[in-house]
Amino acid sequence: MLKFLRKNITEKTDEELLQLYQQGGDLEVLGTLYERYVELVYGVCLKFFKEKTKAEDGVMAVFETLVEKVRTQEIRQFRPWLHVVAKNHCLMQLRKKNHTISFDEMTAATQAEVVQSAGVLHPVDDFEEDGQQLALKKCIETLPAQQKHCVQQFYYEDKSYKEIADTTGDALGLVRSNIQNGRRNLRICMEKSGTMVNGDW
Amino acid sequence: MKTVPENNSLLTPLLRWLTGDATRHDERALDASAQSDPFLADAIEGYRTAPEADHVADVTRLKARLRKRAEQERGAGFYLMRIAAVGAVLVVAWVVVQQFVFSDKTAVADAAQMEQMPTEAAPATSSDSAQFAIAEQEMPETAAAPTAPIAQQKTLNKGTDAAPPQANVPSPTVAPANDEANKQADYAVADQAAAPQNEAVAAEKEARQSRQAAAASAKEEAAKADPKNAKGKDKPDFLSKKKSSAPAKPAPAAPSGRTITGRVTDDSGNPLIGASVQATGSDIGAITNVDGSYSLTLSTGTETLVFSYTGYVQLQIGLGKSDRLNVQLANNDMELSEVVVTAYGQSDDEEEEPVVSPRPVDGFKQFRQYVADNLRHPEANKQPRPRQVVRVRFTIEDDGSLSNLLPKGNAPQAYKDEAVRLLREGPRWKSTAGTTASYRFVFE
Repeated sequence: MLKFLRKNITEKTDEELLQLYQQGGDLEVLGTLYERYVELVYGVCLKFFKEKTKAEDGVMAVFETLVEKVRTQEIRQFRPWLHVVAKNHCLMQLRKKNHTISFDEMTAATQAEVVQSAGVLHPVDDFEEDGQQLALKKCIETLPAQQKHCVQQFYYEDKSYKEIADTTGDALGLVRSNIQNGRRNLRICMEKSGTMVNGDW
Repeated sequence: MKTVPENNSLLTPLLRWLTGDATRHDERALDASAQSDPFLADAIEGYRTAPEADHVADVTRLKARLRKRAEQERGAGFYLMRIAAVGAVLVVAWVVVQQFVFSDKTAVADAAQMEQMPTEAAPATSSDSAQFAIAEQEMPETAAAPTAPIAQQKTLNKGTDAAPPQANVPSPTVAPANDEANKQADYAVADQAAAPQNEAVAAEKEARQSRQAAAASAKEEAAKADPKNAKGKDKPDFLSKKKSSAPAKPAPAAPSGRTITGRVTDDSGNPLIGASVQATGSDIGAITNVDGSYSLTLSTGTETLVFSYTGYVQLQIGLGKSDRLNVQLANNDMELSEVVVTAYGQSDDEEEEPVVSPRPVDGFKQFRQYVADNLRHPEANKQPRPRQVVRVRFTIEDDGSLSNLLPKGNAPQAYKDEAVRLLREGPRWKSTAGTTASYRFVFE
């Protein structure tokens, strides 16, 4: 019977797994469910803690809170619920750590971040008018060599991060960082040149 | 990495981004879906705070940690369920026997005897059958799973100690049945690392188990129902092994390619448990087991492996001809992620000697002290001081001096010059892991 359950555990929906855990309390069930969201939760923790080891510990700690919460709370949809739990955990940790920052200040800070990153500039795609394209080309020229190379490969040659890393021999992370910084610099450059439509990104 | 369940296909664009498979179209799609998905939006934002990090390796390691955690407490509740189930089976069996016996004594005398025998004989032979079962299973497992519960527990703790003391993280909760928890952890780790090529073995084992279970089921069940026996040493062994083979099963079939095995240790030769071994440019990875060993079946075309462990230097090694690759990671004993050393080496054909990651002769602690004492912030007068990051790539010569210092990053030239100066005037380095390393300076 148990073997049968285990075989199908990966095919079950979130809600089925939730129910299964609520009935049986088998941590492996909860673990399977949580594992589906590790990438997301880890990302959220990185956002708040800005540090790998703390973020990793955060992911583990959120799991511990789930062990109890899932049993006692009514959860309609797991995914959005988990998001809130993860976010709250991080905020609580930060608040504990740093007594000088009030909760309001912190939310304000994170909101500001969200606004800032609400849109990510995607050259080529985001500028369709000729004038903009021209300005963009100029801006790309001003980028540091590495960023320029990566941005061009990514946006004009349609290469993936991995492909670029393979050609330059750099680590994947460096390529990612180059493109990200390149984008930021482009955005600044475009803002300066006044070609941005209404700062809509 | 595990395959994504279908109902979670929402995640696929993010995974592609993490592995580096994403093109601009993928990234755009990702950002678009983030607009309507705050969870995803937060996650991406988080990952973008550290674009340089090897997120895939981190997530892989994290999942292994999580699985270990989830297995730990399986003990109590699980056994209760198991015992209950077995009890039910016994009741049914008893009813059946009763029926046979009472309905037609003579005609089914033989059958009744057969049916009854196991139940009656159970108390006497149960331990025998249990031992038999263990012996059968131990065989394929022995290579992969050395059993030293106590030593392992110790090393496990050591592993977690490397992380900064984070109040909320429960140190590995030791379930009431101490021994069992340890064992389970044992196998979990071993299975993790050996998953790809142990699949066949696992499948075979499973098959054998079910055959055996069928054959000896009545005896087995009787033994399990006896609480004394179920708590005994042999039983949990049997149970936990059977179970730990399950998580390994759903792993994707290993792609054809060479299999690399080896061991990851720290400076003093102690095994690093749970270190991540990742094939670059793919989602193929492994976690080292209790004695620091790993085994990784690569897809064709993989040329580089990345070894990482929190608090240790990340080592990137190009594959040579040998399929054996032992690695020694230098302790970076950093709480903050400010120092990242990535080394690029080449595996040698002379196996057993471990490849040692590059390090300053006196270690990183000393080196950081040196940097702290000597660093001159180029814009020290500005308020606030600008934060700049410079990564310097360099070659370690045979005599330990550094050459070909190449600063990278977007920092102004003055910062780059300062970073280069610090390295050039600093202590010598040593390494057997090829010659190129990079060091990241953070000016604040």
